Amino acid sequence: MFELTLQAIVSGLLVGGVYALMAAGLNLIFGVVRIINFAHGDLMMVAMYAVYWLFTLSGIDPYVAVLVVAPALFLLGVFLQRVVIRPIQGSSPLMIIFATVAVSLVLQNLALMLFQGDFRSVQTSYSIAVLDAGPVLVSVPRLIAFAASILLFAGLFLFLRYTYVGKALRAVAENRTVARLMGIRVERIYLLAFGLGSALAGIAGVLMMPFASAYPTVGTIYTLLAFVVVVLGGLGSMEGTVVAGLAVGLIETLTGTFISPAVKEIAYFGLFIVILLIRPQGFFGLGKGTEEVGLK
Amino acid sequence: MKRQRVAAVLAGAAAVLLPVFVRSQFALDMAILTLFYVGLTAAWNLVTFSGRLSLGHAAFFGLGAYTATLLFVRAGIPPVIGAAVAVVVSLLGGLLMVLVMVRLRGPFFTLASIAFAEVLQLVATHWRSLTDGSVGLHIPFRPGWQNLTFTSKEPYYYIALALAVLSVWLGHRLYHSSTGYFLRAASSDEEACQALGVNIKRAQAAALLWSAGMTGLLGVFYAYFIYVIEPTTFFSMELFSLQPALNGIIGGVGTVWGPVLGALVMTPLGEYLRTFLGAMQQGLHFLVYGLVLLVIVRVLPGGFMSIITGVRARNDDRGSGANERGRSYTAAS
Amino acid sequence: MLKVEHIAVSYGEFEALTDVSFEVNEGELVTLLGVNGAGKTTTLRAISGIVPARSGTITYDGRPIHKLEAEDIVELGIVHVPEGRGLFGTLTVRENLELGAYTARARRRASESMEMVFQLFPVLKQRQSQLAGSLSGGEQQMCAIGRGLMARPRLLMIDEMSLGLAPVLVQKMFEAVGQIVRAGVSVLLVEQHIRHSIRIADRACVLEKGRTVKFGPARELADQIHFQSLYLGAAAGGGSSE
Ligand SMILES: Nc1ncnc2c1ncn2[C@@H]1O[C@H](COP(=O)(O)OP(=O)(O)OP(=O)(O)O)[C@@H](O)[C@H]1O
Ligand SMILES: [Mg+2]
Repeated sequence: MFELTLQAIVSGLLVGGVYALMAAGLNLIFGVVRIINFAHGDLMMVAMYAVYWLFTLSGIDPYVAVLVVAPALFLLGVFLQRVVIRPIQGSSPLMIIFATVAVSLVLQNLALMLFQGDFRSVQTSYSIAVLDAGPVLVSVPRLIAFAASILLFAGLFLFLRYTYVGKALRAVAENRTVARLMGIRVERIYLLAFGLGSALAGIAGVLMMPFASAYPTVGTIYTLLAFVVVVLGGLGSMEGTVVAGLAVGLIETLTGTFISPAVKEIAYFGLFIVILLIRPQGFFGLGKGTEEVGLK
Repeated sequence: MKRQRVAAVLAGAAAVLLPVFVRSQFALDMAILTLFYVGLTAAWNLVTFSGRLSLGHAAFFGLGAYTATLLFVRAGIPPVIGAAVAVVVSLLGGLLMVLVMVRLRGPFFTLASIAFAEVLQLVATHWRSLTDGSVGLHIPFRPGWQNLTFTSKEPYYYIALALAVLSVWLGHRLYHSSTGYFLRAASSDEEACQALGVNIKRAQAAALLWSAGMTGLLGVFYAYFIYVIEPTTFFSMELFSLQPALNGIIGGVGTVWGPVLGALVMTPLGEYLRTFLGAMQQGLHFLVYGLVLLVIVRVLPGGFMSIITGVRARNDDRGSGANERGRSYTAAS
Repeated sequence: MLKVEHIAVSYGEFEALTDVSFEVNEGELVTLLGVNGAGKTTTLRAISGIVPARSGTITYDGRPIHKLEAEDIVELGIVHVPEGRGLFGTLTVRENLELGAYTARARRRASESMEMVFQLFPVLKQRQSQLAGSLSGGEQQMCAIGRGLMARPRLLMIDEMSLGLAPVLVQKMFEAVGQIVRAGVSVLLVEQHIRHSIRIADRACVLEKGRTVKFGPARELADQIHFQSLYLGAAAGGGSSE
């Protein structure tokens, strides 16, 4: 019993790290561009397919593929912001929801057209490798995913905190108009934020690929999952995102272990609705601009 | 006005007589499906009167379908009664969403609606003792009006037509009632209306409940139309949450006739793509939806309807002082 | 240096400015006066490019700037310290100041500017690692002006400089403005303390319902009885009007 619990906790934390990373991308885009991106999980799906094909066609290891996939997703994000979002930014919130829903539909169905609905996974030498750490077994790719996520978080944090551009991102997140008065080119910051957010989703996709499968609608569940994390952790709060990501991972594995694997998704969507109802500001304070996207 | 009435009478006559002249089963199926989607889209659209976008109507749809089917299959209660219970159950689901709606707007309401439908789908999948899980339930073939089961397509056609008319009529009534008027006023400024003492929350709740009940009823119809019911279809996000929403948006959100138009145009188009090209190109159907939607959002935010009325729905510039020099800024011109 | 000619600005249907004209010369302090809603803030926003001018021209060193983006206008050395300070509350004082020097032109001299700002407002130096949102009202205004100076302005526009400040602090702010002008920076000042600002200003521009009704040497304007009764009367207490 004790070992089972410990195992569940460890697995939960490991996967939670990746969830946090993915959600961080969503949160960054929200915080800076003030867009709730319904296609966020689909960006991850794109990255997962990219990893799959790079591996299958050219034998490129997933962890090497990140060097291509992350920049590609960055560019995809920049493209979406420039071509889809920018022209309608400032129009009604409903229109913006429609736009990102449309992007999601296009990406999912392009994937379906190109690759059919099959589940695709990569079989690397380390896919099923396990580390025997006393009472618990630790899956090697999950451990790598977790460690990489934490490292990226640290990098993101340092970037936002200590670079000029990072400060500009935070400034725009707080007050766009004043940021312009500083000479900060807000439109470019939006592009950067969307690009970075997409790249984070992409990297999360890469990290999950050794132990997950790609299929066209895989993104929907991760979009919702990212939202669960972001809402739980507080919109605009990076620290909150980390904690909430780990918490969601824990909830998932604990309910999966002790109740039933069937219940785990019900658990976090249920939790999501309950959180939205009782504490929409999340547990780490209300982010700036939440009222703008309709959260009181 | 007069010409409109004549057109309406002609359209009505055409709709009623259609099965007499159209003998092709495929065409009749297409017509049934189109009417069904007209009903579903119009029902979905009721919620948009409150300025909310639901992408979780599959929840009400599935609740209605499952309730009537379970009552019939497990307890032998005929669908005529089952449908009434189904509407009540959908309304209960609607009440839950009302709780969500009074607190959430914008993307958060939308997200909660998606999560709601997902949860119900999962419940339907995993509560095997009740629903037989993903295996699904078969509605036994016992033809007769009381069982809503027929040997030919025509009765289904007329039921679909009646439901579509009912749904559109609900929208029409709501739109032109004082409730509808408050809702439209509130969708631009909820707080201000609340402050004026208008009970907006009650009006919004009414709109959502009408919408949920009507959607549940359509769920019952669809269950009996295809007589196999299982979670991934009947709680399908794509088929019953997204598709009515897309029809509505493409046709013209927040109007009575826009969503009808959207469903009339997009359903046959979608079916055509799915039937003739779907075998080669799975996904094309929704890809087209997505692309049309992207174009609509960009160049025609009022949907098809705005071409007809000639009045482009104004992009209300509520996005705070942010984009003050943005392209959408009215003062710039 | 800056010449505003017959500009008009609308917010949607509403015409906030219909005809505003005035100018600011090199090293000059000009004050913009008018009751609440007269259009002072809107005028500054039009100059800094946050709202577009529907008609009229704004020239800077003889060059039209009313079609430029706000970001380009800062680059030219026209810096706007907005109403309500507009500090980035979740960033530290130091980060706020650094962002003031965001433009390439200003960034090169950022550390030098920072020294200068700390000299002008020593309290900011003590508070530099504190979040700007946690500063007192007076300190916030100092931080906002300091941030404006970080951009190396040739023309500094300050909106509602002493709104909500205690009299001692108001005095302090005016002294700081005096120092800024003496350092060769032109200042366009919007102030509730009319007597005070007219006393230190070279010229004054009076707005009424979105149009310039008077523009001339501050001294002359202060003497006009018409003006006194019309405008100063309302704000005779010297506090915020209305
Ligand atoms: N964003 C806006 N949208 C619509 N109207 C606005 C907006 N900003 C200002 N106005 C209107 O424009 C007019 C001029 O406003 P402005 O803020 O320029 O006045 P002001 O002279 O700065 O007043 P105050 O002394 O109160 O700061 C006012 O009637 C105001 O209501
Ligand atoms: Mg003002």
